[in-house]
Amino acid sequence: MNHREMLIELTNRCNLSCHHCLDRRHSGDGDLNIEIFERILQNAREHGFDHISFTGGEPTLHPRFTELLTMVSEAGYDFGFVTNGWNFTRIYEKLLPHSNKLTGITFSLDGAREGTHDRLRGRDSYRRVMQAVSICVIKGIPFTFNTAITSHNRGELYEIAGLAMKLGSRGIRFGHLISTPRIVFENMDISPVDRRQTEIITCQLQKTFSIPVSMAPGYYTTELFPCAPLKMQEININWRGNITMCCNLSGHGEDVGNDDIAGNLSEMSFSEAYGRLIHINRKFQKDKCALHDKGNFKDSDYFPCWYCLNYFRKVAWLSNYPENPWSSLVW
Amino acid sequence: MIQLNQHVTPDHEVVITELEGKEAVLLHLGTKMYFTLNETGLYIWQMLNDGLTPEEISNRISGEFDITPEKAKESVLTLVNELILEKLVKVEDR
Repeated sequence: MNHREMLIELTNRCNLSCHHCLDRRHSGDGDLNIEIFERILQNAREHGFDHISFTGGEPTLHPRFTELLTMVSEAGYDFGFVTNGWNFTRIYEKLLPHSNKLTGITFSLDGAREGTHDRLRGRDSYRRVMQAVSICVIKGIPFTFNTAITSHNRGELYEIAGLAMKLGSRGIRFGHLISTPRIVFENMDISPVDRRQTEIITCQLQKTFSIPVSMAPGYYTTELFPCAPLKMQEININWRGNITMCCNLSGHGEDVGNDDIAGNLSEMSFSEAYGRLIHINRKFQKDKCALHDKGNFKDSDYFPCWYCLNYFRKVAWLSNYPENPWSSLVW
Repeated sequence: MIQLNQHVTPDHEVVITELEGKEAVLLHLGTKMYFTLNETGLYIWQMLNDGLTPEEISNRISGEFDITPEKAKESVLTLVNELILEKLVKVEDR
């Protein structure tokens, strides 16, 4: 059986307020219930899940983060997490007893230069990441970087990859933004044409650097089901205990579509919710194939995240911003 | 060579990360090079950061530990010169 991964949003609280983040991921106050978490650990393995990646919000802010690590480790799952690095000097010692199950830590790095990174993520956040990676290097903890490509940092992609390599990262993954009103208001997103240009640059970087340089799913591709969630190799569980199609569809608020939510684990078993997710996925695949085969695809629909955001009705609000290059592409 | 009475301060481009208060990692943001300090090295770094001269640091170390003033001066100067060489500290003109 293939490796399968669960992305578990431990909390929607965050100590930062990054300009390009979804509002509901840093202005909330909700934490995943630990009883639900226990049930996930008990039941997910029979469906082939063997790896957990903690997300958020800032996952290290979950009030029982240390306890969760122990539970995951004792249950035999491999794990990693995505973090802004701010709390790492405080929590890294808690990781060390579980290093045999820890596959790696992904730090968010949004600029090669301190000013670029801090402009998006807040003062001193760059130096906090640097402190975190310093600890990883000394303690032998594997780490990688994620970078969201914005209008602010798109000119630094080469430098960012170079920085990652020099710092000892095992890789760097660039990704496109998920539109939010703030991103639109602050002109942080780039047009479809510019996105494709950054993808070309990323391809060139892959040949330039000795560490893996990649694009997160969401880049332009004619493959209809290119990413782990659409292949059912990855599921998302949000802090409310909902099993959902993808983390990129979560955190958009209450006033958007919610057909990506399969079920809540406080109301049904993991198996039942997972079964519903399979059903949603099959319907999605059928609908996407039909639209494509009828020749009704716009060119922008070959950006798979963009397609999903439309399909699940997360970006209808963009129609209110006609000056934005993505606005006219909403369906 | 640094003089004992010269002021030396950590470079702003250096990020220091203390580990359990027993050692520290220095990362130079310009060169992207990592350096480690042991417990004594960290103690000296902290005193440099507080504005003490190598001489004042040497005196404090020889007073607190079982080490002769000459040996303390030698150790402090050796470390400070290495820090200067790696551009981790700057010699101040006062």
